[in-house]
Amino acid sequence: MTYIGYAKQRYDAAIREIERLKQSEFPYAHIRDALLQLEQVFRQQRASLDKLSAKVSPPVAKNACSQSLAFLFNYTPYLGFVLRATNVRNAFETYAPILRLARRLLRPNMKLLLSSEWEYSPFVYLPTVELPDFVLIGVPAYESANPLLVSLAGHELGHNVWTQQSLGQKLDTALRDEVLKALTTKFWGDYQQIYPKTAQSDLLTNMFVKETWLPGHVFAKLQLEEIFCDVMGLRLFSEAYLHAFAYLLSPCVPGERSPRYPTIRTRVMYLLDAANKFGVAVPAHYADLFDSQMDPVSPVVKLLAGIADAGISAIVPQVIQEAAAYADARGVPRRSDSNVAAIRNDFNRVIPAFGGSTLTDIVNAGWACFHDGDLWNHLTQIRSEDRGRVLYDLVLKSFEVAEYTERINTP
Amino acid sequence: MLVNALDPDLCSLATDAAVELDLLLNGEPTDLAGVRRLGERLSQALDQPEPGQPTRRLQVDTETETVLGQAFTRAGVANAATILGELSQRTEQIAEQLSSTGPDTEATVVQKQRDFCLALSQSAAVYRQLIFDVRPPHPYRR
Repeated sequence: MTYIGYAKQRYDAAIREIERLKQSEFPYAHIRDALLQLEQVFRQQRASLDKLSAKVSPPVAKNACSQSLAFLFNYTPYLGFVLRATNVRNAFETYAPILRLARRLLRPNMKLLLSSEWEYSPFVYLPTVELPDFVLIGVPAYESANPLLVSLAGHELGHNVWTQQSLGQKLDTALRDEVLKALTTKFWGDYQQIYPKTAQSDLLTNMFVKETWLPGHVFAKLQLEEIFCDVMGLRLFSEAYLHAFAYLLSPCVPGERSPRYPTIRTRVMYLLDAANKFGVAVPAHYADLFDSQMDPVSPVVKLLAGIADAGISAIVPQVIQEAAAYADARGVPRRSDSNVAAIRNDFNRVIPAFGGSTLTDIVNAGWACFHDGDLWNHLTQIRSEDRGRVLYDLVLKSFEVAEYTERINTP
Repeated sequence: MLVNALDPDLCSLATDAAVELDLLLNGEPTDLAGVRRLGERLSQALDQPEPGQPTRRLQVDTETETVLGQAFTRAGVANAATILGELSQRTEQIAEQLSSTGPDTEATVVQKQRDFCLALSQSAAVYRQLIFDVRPPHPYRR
C-alpha cells in the first residue's frame, strides 16, 4: 500500500470511531454539536485526500499526507475530550454559570464543553477554524467536581479573549521592540558569546540573524498571554482566583522553568500588581507560598528566556489595563464584599446562597469558608472530615439556585 | 481574516493550493479553489496603498513575517540575507499570481507557485511546532 492509501485508511478508522462516539449519551447539546462539527471536518480532510491522484508529484502528495497526519495528531485529543465531557465525574452544576460567563465575555452564540481530564493542569482548546464557536475547558479529573476551582475558568477564558481580540498581533510591534531593546542592551554580551559575528544592524533585516532571537519574541508573546489570562482570572474572580492559583501551583513545578511561562514568582508579582490596581485584597504572605525556579540549563534557552522576561516587563501594565477594560466593557460583575459576607452567612447556616448571587461572590464566599478553621464547629452533625464535601455541595447548589433564578427572571 | 503563522488554516490552504497547482501542471482537472483562497488571504495581509505609496505594505506580525520569508527562501526564489527587505513586494506578487493563475499560465510560473505553496505549508508547520510543541515530556512516556 502507498502512503496515500495509508493516509486514507487512517481517516476511515477515525471516522468509524466518530460514528461510534455519536451513539454516546450527551448530558448537554454542545457536546454532540462539537462532535458533529468534528465529524464534518474529518470527512472534509478525508475527501481532500481523494484529490491525490497517481499523477500528483511525490513531494506534493507526501506533504499533503504529512499535513493530514498532523491533523490527526492535533484533533484526536478533541475526540477524547468530547468523550470525557460526557463523564458523570464532571460537576454539571458548574456548566451553566461558566457558559453564561463565556457568552458574556466572548460572543452570545459561544458553546461550551467542560471535561474531566487526566492531566494535572487545567487547559483550554482555543477556537479554531474547525470549531470557531466552541470553548473547551479541561479540568484535572480529581478536581472536576471542586467548585472552588471554577475561578480557573477565568484564566482559560482569557486565552479565548486573547485570541478573539488578536491581542498578540496588536501588541506585536511594541513587544518586539522591547525584546530587541533587552537583547541589544542587557543581554548583548551573552548573545555575542553565542553568535560572535552578528551585528546589531542585521537583527531585523537578515533572516538568518532574525531566527536567532525570534524564539525569544515568541516566548515573550506566550508569557504575555499567560499574564493577560491570570489578570483576567483575577478581574473575574478576585481573591478566589488567587486561592485557586495557589491551590493548583504552589510552591512551583520542580525543575527548570519553562521559557513559555514567566517564572511562578514573576507571575505572582504581576498578579499582585494587578490586585493592587483592582483593589483586590491579597491573602497575607501570599507570595511566600511560591518558590523560585531554576534557569534553563541550555545557554541559548536561558538567553531567550531572559530577553522574553525583560521584554514583557514594559508591556505588562498595558496588558493589565486591557484585561480590566475588556471585562468592564462587557459588564462582568466584580466581587461585592457585602454579598460575599451575606453568602458566607448562608453557608455558615448550611444553606445555599440567595438566588441573585453572582458566580464570583459565591466562589469567594466558598473560599472564605474553606479557610475558616472554625467552620461548623458548633454543628455536631457535620463531622470535621465531611466539611469539605458539604461545602462543595453548598457551593454547587448555590450555582444551581443562581442559574434557576437567572432563568426565571430573564424575559 | 489576515494571514497568521499560527492559523492552522494557513498550512492547510497552502497544502491544498500546492496539490491543485501540481494537478494543473500535470494536466489533471482541478478547480483551483484553494489557490484562489490562498491568493486572497495573502492579499488581505497587505495594506491598501495610499496615494504616493509605491507598493503595498505587509500587515503581519513578526512570526508570520518570518514564516513568509522562510517560504520564499525555501522555495528557492529569494535569499535569506535580503528577503525581509523585499517581503512586501514578493508577497504582493505571489498573491496576484495565485489569484489569476489558470490553465493558460506558463508551466514554469505555475511550478514556481506550486513550490512556494509547498514551502509555505512546510514553514508554517515548522513554526507551529515551535509554538505548540510545548507539552513537557512525561518522564515515563515515550
